[in-house]
Amino acid sequence: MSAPKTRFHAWDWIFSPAARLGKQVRLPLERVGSAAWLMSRVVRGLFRLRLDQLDVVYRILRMQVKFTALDALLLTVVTALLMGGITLIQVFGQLSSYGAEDYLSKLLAKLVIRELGPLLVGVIVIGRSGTAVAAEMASMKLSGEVDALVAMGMNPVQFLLVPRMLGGMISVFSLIVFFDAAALLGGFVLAWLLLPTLSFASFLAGLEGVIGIRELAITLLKGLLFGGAVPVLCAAYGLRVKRSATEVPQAVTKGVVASLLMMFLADALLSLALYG
Amino acid sequence: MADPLLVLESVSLRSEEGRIVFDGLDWTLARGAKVRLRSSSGRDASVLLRLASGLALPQAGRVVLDGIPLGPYSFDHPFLARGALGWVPREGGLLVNQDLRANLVLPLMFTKRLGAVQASSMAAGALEEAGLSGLADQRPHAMDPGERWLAALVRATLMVPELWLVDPPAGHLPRSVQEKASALLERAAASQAAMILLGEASWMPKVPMQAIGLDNGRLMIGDA
Repeated sequence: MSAPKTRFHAWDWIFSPAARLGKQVRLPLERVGSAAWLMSRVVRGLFRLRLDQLDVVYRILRMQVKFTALDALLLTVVTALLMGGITLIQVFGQLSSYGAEDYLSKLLAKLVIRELGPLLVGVIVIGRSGTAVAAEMASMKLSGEVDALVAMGMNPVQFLLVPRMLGGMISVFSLIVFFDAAALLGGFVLAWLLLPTLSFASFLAGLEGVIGIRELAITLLKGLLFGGAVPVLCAAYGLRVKRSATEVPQAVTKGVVASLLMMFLADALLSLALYG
Repeated sequence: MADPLLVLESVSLRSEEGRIVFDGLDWTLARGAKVRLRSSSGRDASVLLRLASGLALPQAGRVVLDGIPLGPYSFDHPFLARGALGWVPREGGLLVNQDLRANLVLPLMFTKRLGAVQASSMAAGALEEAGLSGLADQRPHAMDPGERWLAALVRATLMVPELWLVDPPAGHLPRSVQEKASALLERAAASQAAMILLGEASWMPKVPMQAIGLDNGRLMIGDA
């Protein structure tokens, strides 16, 4: 039997570019919807955990915090010291030309606490832990571990995703606090080298008016948002693999790109809403 | 008719390549029934087990387990949520980032609601009995495939399942693993639980089971 002939219609020619354009819009929206749906399942899974399941979740959570926060602490502190110093060089150059060195610590603190800290910690966590989570979930899916969890009545959302989301939240917030402290310290050391008359007490006094409850609340908000969303997004991409090990690096890449995009977009919106 | 535990109603399934695996398959497994499934295609038989556990969904028809249809997110199914399924896939499905002891302990704590001390004690006893206690602190990648599969069998035994779905590895198993696995399966076959056991390897327990053949997506009931 011969294959049926495909008839060409004029409206195909007219509408196919529109359809292609529509697809380009629909696909990202579908992904956003899918990520939001998964996040809602994770939050629901968190609140549906039984008390006797908390011990198991805590074991996984502890491993996650150790890998995401503790093992990344040195890298975060070194990055923060360097970034604090680099930022100070830029700020110092601008301020000294106006004779406004007194504002050095205030400007540095605002830059570090409001934007640099959450964003750079987010990038470090995506690079270290987001990739690991995506690859781990993908290999668990391929090796039948996720199937075994389902078959044994271990809800994979509660067993795999809830502890990773909570671990991410705790880790990112903690790392932001360490990052901010190290960046300000690095900034002070460099400022002191450039301006030997600057005392630590006056540097701290300059910070006093800048770091308040509002700054801490915003740091907490960003930490919880980035820390919660990054592991869930990366895990979602990892769990999408179906058959082949060649899908693992693709899943990791997609998870990283989506996480970075989400983080920069969320940070821009938060900054507009809170400081705009 | 005996109380049905697993019902496949007009189940049709195509593989991702478009090959017809099952086309309108109807089959019922009664509670406590023991079935040995032989198939020219081990892959199709494995797919049947995946359908029975809700890990694969048919494109048409439905699978009813313990009176409730299986659907997407089968981990919410009450039968699975209470840990009543003894899932022993050919690759084992052990968690590679946990040691063997934790692989046995975590499901007991999470699904069966046992305390850590009791779960650890049960796991230690089961590993000792299966000759795997020396590997308790090892992660699965340090074990050979046969040991991994035996460990999955031990893990399922601890859950005291109501339905066993057992898919032995395709390759040769070491003699010690064969003996331990045979003893565990013999005990499972003597229990009230239903069982679907794939394959007909010589080491498998010699217990009376209904023989069913799977050929081109059709089930052929054989002698008891």
